Amino acid sequence: MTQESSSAETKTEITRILESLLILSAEPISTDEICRLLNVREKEVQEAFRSLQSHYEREHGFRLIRIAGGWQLATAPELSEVVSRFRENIQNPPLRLSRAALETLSVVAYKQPVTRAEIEEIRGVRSDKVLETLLRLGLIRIAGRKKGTGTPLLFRTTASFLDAFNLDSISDLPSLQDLEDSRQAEDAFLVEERQ
Amino acid sequence: MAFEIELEEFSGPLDLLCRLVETGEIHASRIQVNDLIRTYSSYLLHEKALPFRTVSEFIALTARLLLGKVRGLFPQPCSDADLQPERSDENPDELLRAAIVRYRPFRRAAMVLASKLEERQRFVVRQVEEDRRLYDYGDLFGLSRLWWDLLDSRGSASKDAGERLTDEMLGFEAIETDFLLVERRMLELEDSLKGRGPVSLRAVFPGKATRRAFIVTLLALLELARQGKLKILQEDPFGDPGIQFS
Repeated sequence: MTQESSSAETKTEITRILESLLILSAEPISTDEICRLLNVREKEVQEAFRSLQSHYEREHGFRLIRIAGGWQLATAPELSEVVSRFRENIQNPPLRLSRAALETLSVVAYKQPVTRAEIEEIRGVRSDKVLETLLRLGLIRIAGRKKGTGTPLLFRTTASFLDAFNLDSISDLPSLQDLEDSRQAEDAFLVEERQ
Repeated sequence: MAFEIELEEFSGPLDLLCRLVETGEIHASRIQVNDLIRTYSSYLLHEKALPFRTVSEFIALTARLLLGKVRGLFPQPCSDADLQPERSDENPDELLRAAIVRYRPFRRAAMVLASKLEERQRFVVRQVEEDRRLYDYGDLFGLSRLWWDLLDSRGSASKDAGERLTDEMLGFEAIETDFLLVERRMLELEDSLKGRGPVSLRAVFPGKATRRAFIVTLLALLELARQGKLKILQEDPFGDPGIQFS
């Protein structure tokens, strides 16, 4: 057997193992976890994940998505309607968040670690109840106390937050500057349209 | 010979530090009183003479510093300046506009999050069959929430079954009053130290004593001293005190 064919076999084997683990797992699987489990290099695992990802994109009901720092099998988004009709009776209702909760969550996501007073200063309204809801939903967590007078609690987003918002990591969010620039560009476009 | 300067305003570095804390030029929370006392007391001990006045000044200044720290924990009362209207260049409209401009990107970020949430909900994943881990390491809020939820469900289950939820069922140890603990510790100390020569105070706290054990032992020693059963002696200033049973 040539070295080339042996390497191809290893790659196929890793891909098959990944597929079986992905079917079993209800949580995202990280590349590190697989490297440790199979004692293989990160590059090989990533290649295997990518080859599976492109495989499922073609005529399959599955997608391999990158989420919360790992990989997870999910149903194809274009099938969401039929899937949701099917799972209606067997699953919890999907997460619904008020505008206040989303805005508070965005402040935590961009300013973390952040105190309640800092959130309220940015939002201009009291946010204790919203923070309580976000804590209860597991989207944010208490991440220690800020040094200084009163040592207030600091809040951070959680891995569940990444999972719920289709993010691999927090850096996947656009920067605040980008958001402001895109808003200004949209405003300018609307002004031009009106003229 | 050391060259000493005394100013009318300040009588030493500690006095200056107190003044800076009191005027708000240094935030009280930034000062480690522990370290300060250790450094200053070791400096005082190196002096040949330790006049009573110097020691009393030191205690008074440390107390001032502690008072500054305590005051720092409370909201500061409004000064006249705070009650004055904002500077002319910061009119309310401008401030409101600035707050809106600062908040605008976050509102937009909230819209991004909403679309991401919707996008994510179109991907359906396998559901966890067993209980998901409800808290991260160090997340005391999550842990306490989990604990109270378990307690509530246990409580309602017991209520349905007509049982009364007892401390034993909840896994709580029977609570022993501090008074009984001190009394028991007094007997232990008397048994172990009576008839022996002076024993160092450190020896009475073996290994890593918990805060509760430390306080109970200290109270027991003070009570025994009050009853005249033992003497507490300290030969050197800031030295380890010795304990001698009568």
